[in-house]
Amino acid sequence: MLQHYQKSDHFLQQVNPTMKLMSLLTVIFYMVLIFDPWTPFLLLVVTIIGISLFGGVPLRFILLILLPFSLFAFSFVWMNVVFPDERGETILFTLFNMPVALENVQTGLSLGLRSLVFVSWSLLFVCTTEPTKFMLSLVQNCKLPPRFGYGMMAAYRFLPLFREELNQVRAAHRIRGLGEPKGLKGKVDETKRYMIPLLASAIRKAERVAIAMESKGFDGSTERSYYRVISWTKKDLIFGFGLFLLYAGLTLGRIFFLQ
Amino acid sequence: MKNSKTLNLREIVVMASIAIVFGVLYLGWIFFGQVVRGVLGPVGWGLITGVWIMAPTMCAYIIQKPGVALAAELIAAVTEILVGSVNAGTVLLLGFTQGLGAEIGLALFLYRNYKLPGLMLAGVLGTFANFMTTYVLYGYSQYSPLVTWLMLGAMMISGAIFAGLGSKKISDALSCTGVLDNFALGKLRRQNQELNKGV
Amino acid sequence: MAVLKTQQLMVRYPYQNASILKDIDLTIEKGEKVLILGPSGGGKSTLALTLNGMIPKSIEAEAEGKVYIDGKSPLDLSFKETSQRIGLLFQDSETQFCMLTVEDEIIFGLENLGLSKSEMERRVEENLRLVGLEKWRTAQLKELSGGMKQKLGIACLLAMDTDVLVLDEPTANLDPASTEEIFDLVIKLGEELNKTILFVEHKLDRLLPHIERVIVLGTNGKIIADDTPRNLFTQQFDTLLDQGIWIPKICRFAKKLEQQGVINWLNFPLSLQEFEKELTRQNIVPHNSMVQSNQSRVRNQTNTILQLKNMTFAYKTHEVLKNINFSIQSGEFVALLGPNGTGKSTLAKLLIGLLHPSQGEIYFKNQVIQKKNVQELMRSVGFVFQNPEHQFICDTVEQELAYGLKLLGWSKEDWHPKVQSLLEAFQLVEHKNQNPFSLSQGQKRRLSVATMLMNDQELLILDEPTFGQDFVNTEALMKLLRALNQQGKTILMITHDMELVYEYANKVLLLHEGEIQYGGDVETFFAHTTLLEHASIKVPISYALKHWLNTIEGGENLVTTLSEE
Repeated sequence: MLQHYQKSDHFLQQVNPTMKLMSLLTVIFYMVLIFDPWTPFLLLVVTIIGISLFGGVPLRFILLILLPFSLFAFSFVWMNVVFPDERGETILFTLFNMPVALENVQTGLSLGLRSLVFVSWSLLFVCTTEPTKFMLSLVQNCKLPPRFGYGMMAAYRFLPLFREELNQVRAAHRIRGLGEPKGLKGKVDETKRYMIPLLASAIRKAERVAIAMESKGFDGSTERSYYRVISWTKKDLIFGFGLFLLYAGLTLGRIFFLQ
Repeated sequence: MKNSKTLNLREIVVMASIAIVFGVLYLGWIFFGQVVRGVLGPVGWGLITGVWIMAPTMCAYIIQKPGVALAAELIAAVTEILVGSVNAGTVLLLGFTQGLGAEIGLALFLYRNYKLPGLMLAGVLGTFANFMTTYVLYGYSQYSPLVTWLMLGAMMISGAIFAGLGSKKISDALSCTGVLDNFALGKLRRQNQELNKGV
Repeated sequence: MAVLKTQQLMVRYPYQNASILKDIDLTIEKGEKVLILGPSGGGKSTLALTLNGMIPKSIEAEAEGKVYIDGKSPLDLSFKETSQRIGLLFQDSETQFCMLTVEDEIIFGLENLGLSKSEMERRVEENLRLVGLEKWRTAQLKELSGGMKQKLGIACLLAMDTDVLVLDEPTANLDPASTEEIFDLVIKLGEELNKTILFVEHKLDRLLPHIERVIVLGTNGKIIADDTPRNLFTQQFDTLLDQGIWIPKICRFAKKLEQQGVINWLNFPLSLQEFEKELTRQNIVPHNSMVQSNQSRVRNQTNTILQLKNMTFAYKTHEVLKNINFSIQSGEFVALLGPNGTGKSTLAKLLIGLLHPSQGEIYFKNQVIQKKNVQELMRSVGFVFQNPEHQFICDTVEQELAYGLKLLGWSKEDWHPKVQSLLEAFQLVEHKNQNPFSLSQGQKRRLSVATMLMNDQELLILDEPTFGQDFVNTEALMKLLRALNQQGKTILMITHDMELVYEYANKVLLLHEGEIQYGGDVETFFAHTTLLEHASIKVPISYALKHWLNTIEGGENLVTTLSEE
């Protein structure tokens, strides 16, 4: 699924990955200073619509991923109601002898929505960026030493292999007489047991692939040419300008409506 | 082969692969983590945060070069984004701060002591950095100080236990399998074996 | 000038007393096709990695003496310069790639060389065409089969425009059909493009006729022979045998005939064709009478241990196995065959309750196994996985063996003698305190089989136990299985190796297209030409040799003597 969205040629897919990554970080820094619920809410709605409109990712898919995170988001509300730094003055009602204040609910909502904004922007990045393109952009645009870029790519390739191996190890251990884990301790023990065979195989694979890469003339230096050049285009300018408008709009809105 | 202080390709791929293995194993825990966080709140969550710093302390212990903890945590963060983590943004920031925290822990021992206390300190400082970052990111300033202090305490304990003790134990067990023979930890083990033979 | 040259090369790995390579003096001319043979763990791969400078540049080892590629030492060349002169293809097709798609993988090497985009485009297109993958250019690597991955590996090397190709057992993990394709491809391209090729291989029945020169590394790390294949196998036959080095079946057979005075070879045969040609020339014609098969290996027991009745298995909606019916008698040695991806492993997992049938029943000793849990079933059935490491749980070999018994509640006094006897039977006594992961390939395999016999299991199921194992280990394992079988254990083995099937099994199950297309004795199976062709299974050489046996005086017992060497 993810791969399918990453490969399509909508607007967001054509924006430089580094640009998207920077925008993601600016969103995080912008949000850190905000404690009202309206700004993150607005930003969340705009982001979701943006991903769907300019990234071609169906709304259903986005909402389905956000769903489990709303549980986490909700935890902020009750944390702020139960353990606030300062209890608010506008008491809405009392719950089990505990006054619930509007101000605390609002702060909780703000923090919860903030976490969803982080997730939605991460989603924007992940759904519209091919791994290879991201790595190439890090190497070409951010001056990441190729040794790191291609090294990570080589390991990333192992992901499905490790998953498969985990299943094999699980089956093999069951046959040795280890049943389904019982309780939390069982789960911890089981994870520990899987770790050694998986890590041992991972390390051997990693060593082999590194040797293979060097045998193909990879010395990790920047002296190499690129078949796919990840360049800056007009699309990045448009994306940056759009982001600026979004921040400007949000900031103006806050000045007019929240003060 | 030179025993240079810089990371070579083999070490980088190994670090990234360890990060991926942990990623695969964590998958079984993510749901559990969300539940803990949603139900028990930040304090309960704090008790398992040390798990996320296991990969960098483990890499540092295995490779024993300056900068490994930070590099490993950043590599882990980037690989997590490659894999498609929906926490890409926070993961990247946390990767940097946590890695830096763990790195400072090892630097305080001048990169000479890779024994349990050093690793535990690295784990504690790693989770401490995690706390500081999430404090800002998720607005913990809005909670009562009691909760935040409790959370910090839980996180630091978790860092010492999982990222310090846990990582060391797993790495030592791994070293016995012989796959680490080309890395600092495996070499130390073999040197010790030789010495013991001589005695 | 020689493309490759070594002088007094010595390589030693850290903490090892003996050198793995010693006094290696080697000169290889442009265009030569050389085969490197040697015992397992005997430094063949080390030699390959030393030739391109990976040892000692990237892999820690002490190296003395000189290596020259095109007159230059790899130590003075950068990775980039070395990669344009010599290319390595490795055994494991999974771990030689670092990108996600076919074209990106070839491009990776070309970018390392700093080529222009148009040149890269040209080379990608040309080399994909050479190996026949042009339609897969934008495919993801994970969509490729093992054989296709190795073809891509070849394309990557060719694209670098190297003179020398070193192939380090590239077919060790492939099934016979893909192995053959890879050999044909390498031989064809090697000749067309006049490449110098070094093969490190042990599955060579097909390759040998194209080889001009064989270099043999001995157990002492020195070159013990350097000759044409024909001279080597006629003159140094016994030396090779002593060193545990692979000798093609046909050569062993031909040698035997000669030793028994049946025939005097004018031209010692390296292939079946040569063998037949030579016999015809000497006016020996085969009888076409059906040879008595080794009936002795078929037991007359009628004690059904395993039975499947109308069993169907589906993953979601996709039917993998359709209406499977067969039964296995106690004491049989069964080979489960079939092309890759037909569900052999799935079937095996069903037999031990790791998966459950969608329809129908599986009976183990007349009891439906769905009603038992895995643990219960495991007390009577052993299951050996393809990768032995996956089964290891403990820190030492001894503990690993004791594990199952301890789980059953045995005390140390009880399990200790039992473990001791298994350590002896499986030649693991010296290694009992070692970590299972640090064992050699062959030892790991033996340990994984031993752990599955702790409870005197009656049925042993093995999923491609010889996968990735070299010739010596394969033989050792198969002899072990035969011994177990003779002690009365029933064996069900998934395999691709028809030689093994013919030598060891007494029953064949062919799984193809989700159905059991054949179930019966081995001899009849290999006579079923259309069936074999359909499942792309090649008749083993021993079978092809069989109809010569009656012809030759004293030949009847030869196949059995051969396998008992």
